[in-house]
Amino acid sequence: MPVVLQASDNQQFTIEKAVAERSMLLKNMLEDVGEAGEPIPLPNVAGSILKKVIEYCEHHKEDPVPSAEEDKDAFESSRRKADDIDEWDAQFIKVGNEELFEIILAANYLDIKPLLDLGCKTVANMIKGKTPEQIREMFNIENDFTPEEEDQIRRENEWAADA
Amino acid sequence: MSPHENSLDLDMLEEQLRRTTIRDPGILDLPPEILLESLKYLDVQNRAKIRLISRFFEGLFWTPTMWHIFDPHGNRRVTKDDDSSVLRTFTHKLLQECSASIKTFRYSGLHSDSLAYLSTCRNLSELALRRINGDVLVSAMKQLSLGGAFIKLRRLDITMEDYRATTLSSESVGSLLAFIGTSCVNLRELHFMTNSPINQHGLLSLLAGCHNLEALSLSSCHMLHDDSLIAITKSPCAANLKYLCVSQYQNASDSGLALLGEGCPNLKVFLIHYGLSITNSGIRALAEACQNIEWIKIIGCRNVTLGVLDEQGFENHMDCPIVYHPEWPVGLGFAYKKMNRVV
Repeated sequence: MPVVLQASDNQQFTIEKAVAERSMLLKNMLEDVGEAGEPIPLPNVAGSILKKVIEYCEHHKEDPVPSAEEDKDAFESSRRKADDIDEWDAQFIKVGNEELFEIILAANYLDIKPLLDLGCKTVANMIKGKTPEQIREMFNIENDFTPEEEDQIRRENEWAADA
Repeated sequence: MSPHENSLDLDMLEEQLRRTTIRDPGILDLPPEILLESLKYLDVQNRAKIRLISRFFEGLFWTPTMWHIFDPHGNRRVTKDDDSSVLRTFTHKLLQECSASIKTFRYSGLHSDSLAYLSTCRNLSELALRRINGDVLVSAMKQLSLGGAFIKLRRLDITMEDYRATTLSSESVGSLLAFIGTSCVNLRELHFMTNSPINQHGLLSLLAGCHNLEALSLSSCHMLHDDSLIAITKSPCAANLKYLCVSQYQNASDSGLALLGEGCPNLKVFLIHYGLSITNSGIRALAEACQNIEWIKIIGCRNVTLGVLDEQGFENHMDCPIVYHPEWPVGLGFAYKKMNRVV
């Protein structure tokens, strides 16, 4: 039984149930309402982004469901790495900043944990190895420190400066 | 100002207003908890840098949930100079602001004043104190034992400042081990690397307190002898023990190894360093007794011959990927891997 999703701009997408269920939000919804066949409105997600999210869910529809036991051991979480991204995902997430943030927001809203993680890792990779000035420029952030404050933090940061 | 210029200004203002009201999402539109998730992927050097972006990021930086792990040295090989006063000041500030959320704390060359702050980390699950001064540690332990700070600790890793020189007396080692036995009762892994004489009383207190130990390294500890191994086999954790590393095992014998095999039948990894009286028969007895053994690593045991376990179904390897020791170079000694039996 296919599922129909309706984006904020009224675009409709018909997808397999297994694809929709990558989203915990949709999975729970489908369990609650049964299979009514009515389009499910997603007022927080634009059509172009929803299309992208569905592409991700299609590709990953056969992945094992991630286990809920999160953060089970500090020992394990210390091994989390931002460069641990598979090739398909890396290609998929090669998008402009705005689109990246929209995908992250949609993944958060739809509760698709692996996609959210992918987005977060991508943001981390963009920040890694750049100077604060470059990061500001990349994300269009205003420097609101006074020169004195900036100096103070630079001094506090000296221990981390050489790496 | 001419009317012409004035109208241009208005256009610009309007344009600016339009941009700020209907614009596409930027990084600051992400909910802070998602930004934090992203920033957690950064190592500590990259994290420190985000403080300089803006006040908002400086605020994020000091959010306690950012600091489940504090590991300022990362994987860099640490020299003594790394514990600079700047890092120390930073560490104190962090421990004051975020102590409750720190679960993993790894540090090289910690000073006594920093150690005192550690007692406020009530959720520590992994603690690594590397290149620490033994006397500093012993005196700090006395203060720390008053709190119940280490009740959740599962992994403890202590390496002395200078692991080549004898740094602590047997009594000091004893009080350290006893401290661990009474304060860290939920410990799963202990890697204790002092180049100091082990103290039997201390070892017994440790084993009496830490019932759930699964991994134990007593590396570079002198005076390990059969009594030490027998104490391990008689402790509550004997059946749970999967990983055991003993070194400077000068006074122990083959029969000690045989008893160890019988008492700890679930060992998966066994490492012995500098066991001068050990021969092939001791190693073989252990390998026979431990049905689940996967790796045996032998370093500096002059009476054990190469290929000692060939007939027991082991493969020779240059190194064992599971052995954990921050100071030992890869490829030291010989490793033997149990091959899967062909049925």
